Amino acid sequence: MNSVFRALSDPTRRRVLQLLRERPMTAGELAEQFRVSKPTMSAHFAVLREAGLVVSEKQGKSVVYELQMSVLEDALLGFAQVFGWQFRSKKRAKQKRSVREAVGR
Amino acid sequence: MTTRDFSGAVRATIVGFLVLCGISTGIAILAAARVIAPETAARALGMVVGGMAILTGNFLPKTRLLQTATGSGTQTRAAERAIGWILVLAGIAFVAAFAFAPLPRAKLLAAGAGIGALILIAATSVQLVVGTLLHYHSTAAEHRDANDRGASPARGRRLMAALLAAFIYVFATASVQLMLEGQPLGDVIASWMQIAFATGFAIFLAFRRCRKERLG
Repeated sequence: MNSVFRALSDPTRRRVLQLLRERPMTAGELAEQFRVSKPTMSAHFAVLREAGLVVSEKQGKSVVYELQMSVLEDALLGFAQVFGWQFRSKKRAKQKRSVREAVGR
Repeated sequence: MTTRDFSGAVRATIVGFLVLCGISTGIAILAAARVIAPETAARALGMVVGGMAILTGNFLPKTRLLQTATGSGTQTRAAERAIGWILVLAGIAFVAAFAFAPLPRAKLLAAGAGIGALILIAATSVQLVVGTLLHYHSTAAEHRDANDRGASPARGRRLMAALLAAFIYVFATASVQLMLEGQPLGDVIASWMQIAFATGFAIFLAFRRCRKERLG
């Protein structure tokens, strides 16, 4: 479940899930909607796949992504969309704080 | 390359079902042995049925059961999501009613929620089947496409389909019995429902086989 929270914590990944609600899309079609590099997009897709929120299939040269969410995950996505919820583990929060402090010094 | 894997969701549903069946059997035994009061047993069983509805509805969109029969179109995906949500909300209503309302009122509330949910599910299913038959040519390509992509029913998903059908029957019977409790009409309707569900499931299996053969 932790991987689902992590996947839903990012606005880009949430937008990907919103787009996939309409229909299955190729990686290229999805990447066109965002101003981020291809490796970053691939990393986002990997997180979504790992959480089991999307499935991917290779069709020819392109990879097609399709939504695979349970009702609970769907509800969590809606909740995250409404409240702009950002999940951050204690460890990551601590790391970010220490980096901020180091930069401030 | 494919990451299509339904085993986790199917396993979770089946394990959840077995646990809930175990709990309901335990409640029935304890009630028969007069260890727990009949009212407590009725409440607990109502909550177990609600739990089953939540469990089934939650995993239904994830296991893609309807796609095995009607192809992988947008309409099928929407229907799966809608039915999943309807079952989860009806399940929550069941659990809440039996947890908080006085028992006679809880039975009526739960029956209302259950019958309402079943009518909505039936309407969604009819709409989907009609849509599938009307748009046969477009969905044929989608079905072939889904099969090419490995969406054909695996053993686990066939088991899940049987489980869903069995659950819908239990849910419908429970709702009708709660609504018509103590009336002779309740038993008559329950008997007819048994026949209707057996026939309905047979028609569904025949429809699926026929469609599969026509699509090759």
